[in-house]
Amino acid sequence: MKMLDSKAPQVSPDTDVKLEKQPDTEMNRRKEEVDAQVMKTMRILDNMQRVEPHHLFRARLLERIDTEKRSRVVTGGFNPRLAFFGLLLTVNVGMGVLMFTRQDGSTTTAHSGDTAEAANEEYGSPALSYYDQQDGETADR
Amino acid sequence: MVVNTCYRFVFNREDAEDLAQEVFIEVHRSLDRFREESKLSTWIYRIAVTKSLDHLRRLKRKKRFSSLKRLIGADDDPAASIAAPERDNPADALADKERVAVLREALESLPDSQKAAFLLSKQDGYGNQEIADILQTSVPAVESLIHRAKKNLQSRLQRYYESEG
Repeated sequence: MKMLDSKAPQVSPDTDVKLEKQPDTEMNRRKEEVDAQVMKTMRILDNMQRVEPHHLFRARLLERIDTEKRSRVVTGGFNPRLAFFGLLLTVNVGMGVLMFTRQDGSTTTAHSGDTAEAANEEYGSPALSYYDQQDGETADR
Repeated sequence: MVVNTCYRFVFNREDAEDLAQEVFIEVHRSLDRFREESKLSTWIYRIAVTKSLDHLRRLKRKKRFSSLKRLIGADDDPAASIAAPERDNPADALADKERVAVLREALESLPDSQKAAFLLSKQDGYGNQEIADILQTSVPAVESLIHRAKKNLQSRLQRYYESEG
């Protein structure tokens, strides 16, 4: 019977080292690729060509400036933004005044209640209870 | 020079020209308010940078709104024109376009001060002193802004390309 060779197949030390290095090499290669991509992207700004403005650039600009000058003359320096803020301010002040007058109205109602109470006290005295007495006598009959 | 300054920010020739026109109109409007504390050119470039950053902020808001429109199916296909170098090979041209889009996205993530300093530094004719005058800050501050912008851009692009792979 052939005995099995007890010696397990041995991996040589060189192969061991090679196997360990492979992931490192792979990682380094990947890192170099990423760095190369980053540098290539950053270089776009260095390689950007100068642009020449359109041949009508100056004409269009002068036209816009003219239009703006003309519109300023027509509106007489009217500033729509300022007008809008003025309107907002007016509305807010108006609302404030309205709310204030409403509050005055509700205190007037309170005053009238006091007045009614005062009137009741004044006219509710026994001297003026004539009609009550008369009603009472009629009821007795 | 103003058109090219705006172009660095917006990556779109038509938008850059429109912005440059707005810059010159603003200069025309505000010339009497120019106090000569800096050079006229510095003042003009300052307006150009401000207008360009405002434009980018408007685009960002529009993008948010258009992604919402896409969600509800009301999108009208905004054509984002990107400055990509001319290529004979369509695959290369597409790759360039995507690269420019990735760069724009990364630039958008930078704070305005870093973005402005970095983009101005990439343009010919702007030394650190000129950039400091335009941004109304000091030269060391500009150097710091450019350094931080570069670092932030690199890390953002690295994260993007790592996730792609």
